[in-house]
Amino acid sequence: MNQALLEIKGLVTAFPGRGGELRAVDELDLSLMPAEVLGLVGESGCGKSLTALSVLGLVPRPGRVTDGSIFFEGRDLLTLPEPELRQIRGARVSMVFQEPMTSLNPVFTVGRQVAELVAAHQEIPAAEAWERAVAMLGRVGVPEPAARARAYPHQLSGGLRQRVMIAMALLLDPRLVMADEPTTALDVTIQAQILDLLRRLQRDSGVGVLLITHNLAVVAQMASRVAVMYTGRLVEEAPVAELFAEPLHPYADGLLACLPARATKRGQRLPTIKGVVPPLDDLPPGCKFSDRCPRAFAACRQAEPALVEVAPGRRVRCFLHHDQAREPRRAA
Amino acid sequence: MNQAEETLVQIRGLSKHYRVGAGFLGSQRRTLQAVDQVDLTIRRGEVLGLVGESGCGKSTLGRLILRLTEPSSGTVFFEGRDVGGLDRGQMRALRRQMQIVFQDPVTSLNPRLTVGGILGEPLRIHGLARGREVERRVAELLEAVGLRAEHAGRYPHQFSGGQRQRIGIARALALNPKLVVADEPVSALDVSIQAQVMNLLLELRDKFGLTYLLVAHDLTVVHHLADRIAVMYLGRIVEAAPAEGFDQPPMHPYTAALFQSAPIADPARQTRPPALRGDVASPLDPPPGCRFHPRCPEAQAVCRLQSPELREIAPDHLCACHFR
Repeated sequence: MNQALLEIKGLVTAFPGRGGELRAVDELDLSLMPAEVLGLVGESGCGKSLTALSVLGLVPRPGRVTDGSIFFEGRDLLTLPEPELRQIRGARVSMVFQEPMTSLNPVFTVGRQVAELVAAHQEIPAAEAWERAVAMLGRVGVPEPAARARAYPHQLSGGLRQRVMIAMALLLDPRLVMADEPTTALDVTIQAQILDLLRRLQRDSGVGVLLITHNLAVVAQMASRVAVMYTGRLVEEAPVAELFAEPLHPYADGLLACLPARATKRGQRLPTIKGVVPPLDDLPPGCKFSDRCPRAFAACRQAEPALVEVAPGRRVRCFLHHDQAREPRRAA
Repeated sequence: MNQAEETLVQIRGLSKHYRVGAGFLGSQRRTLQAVDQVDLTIRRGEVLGLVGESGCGKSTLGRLILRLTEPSSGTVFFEGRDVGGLDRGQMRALRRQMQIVFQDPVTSLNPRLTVGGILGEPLRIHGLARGREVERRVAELLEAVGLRAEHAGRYPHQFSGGQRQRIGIARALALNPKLVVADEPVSALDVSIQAQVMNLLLELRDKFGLTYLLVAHDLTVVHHLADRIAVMYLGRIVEAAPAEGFDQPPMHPYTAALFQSAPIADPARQTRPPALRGDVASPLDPPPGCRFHPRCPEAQAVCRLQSPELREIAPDHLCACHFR
């Protein structure tokens, strides 16, 4: 295998809390190969969006990255000086956010915003930047791009605004795009269009994609590999087909089981995960999922399991799948 | 399900049109047809799912049924009584029978009241309980939705999103309603919490003999919970049929597009090309003829000229398409 495009090692992103630092991302190891689509899933507050913001150096204050390294194309982004980081951000690594209305500037036309991005990274005449902006809007399926480039964000539909965001993300031919819930705010027929667009652009450009979403169906249709997060930790990582066929971590299993589309019968009780995600300042000792886990046993409440590779490309943080933990359990 | 055949709500020719100004001077007034000429029946004891995309009028229709919004024309009959003809006192009495659960459990609960206050208020206003009796009833409601009696003293912000939605449901149940309009009750919730709340809704339906109008954009949620499904497009009902077999043809081309658009949680399933091109249409000045024709893959000349009637194409299956 060639070198990873993105390699996150031991990442800790923390916020100050009453009883010390609260780790919203805790000891995260994650890598993404060139041209790979990796789905990062989990429920609100699990740290998936914060992981992407950590990569970009955009963690909202007072939070900050307190430990670890983030290698992108072999360079540690956490030790790069800000000017160099700025050259990478938006150009080599870009981001698509959930709500394009709040990410676009309402007082400038969308064409101007796209063109400014070109101008910020490349010294070219304004007319040429505008032309490139219009061409890119056309590539992402904005109809009549020359005319629409003169529109303000509020004059476009949600679907078109998201196309503009995607145009901006792909404009400078990045190697990595992080898409954070890119279709969550869209209607289902528009979601299908945007996912199709992302799929085609990814295939044509060979860009690596970190697809952050709570929607497991979107991941199933888009990603080749999935990483599942819970309370700031990676709990399972697997090729997408394997995860959906046989989730190993009880949390991943629970998430998949409670999807109505996978339920056995209409109108019947759905399997659920009991309780709620614990707040970061009140995590249980041992495995952080142990208080909700239907298969927890004594060891789970005493020590936190490590993330262990159980098959090639498959890692899971659960004593049920650790040989060393299985033995004493049989004995008990 | 013979009792389900009994009609609880009958809607006839219901419309809600808004006049909106175009431009700064408002010289050109245009009409936004949020709901247009809707006929629909809600049967006692059923879960009727109402699906459609943003701007299709599904939430407005829910509010019209409860008379939280006054219709431009048309009639809503609740247990045979014309809701529009009731005076204030009669309407207040009727409100006990029909309640609503909102999408956002954060903004729909008064942050300055304790949960006991939120749930007790409707009981006091309608004179259904006083003093100790209120406390007892609040405790009952909390337990019915899976919370505990001691939660009554806490404020909404002390609860998680899923728990707040349970409080919203408890409030809707406080007056022992017959009809509950649930407007996107799970779409703001996390996946694992969605399943808990969906189970709760079904449980309460059985326990209290409720009838639901479940308004949602997520076809998988509606398909799981509903007995019957109605699909709205630009203010009109285009299809209404039993949920069992709803995903099988024949179906309205728009319904088919909704099914095809929903991503499937199974990586083995081939990804399908987008079912529809173009944007969700605007309810401002909707197209003539069939409102879906500009996006419909099967549209013919007749669709541009003539609006298809909602008619029975199979037993209990209504569809508004010239080619079904």
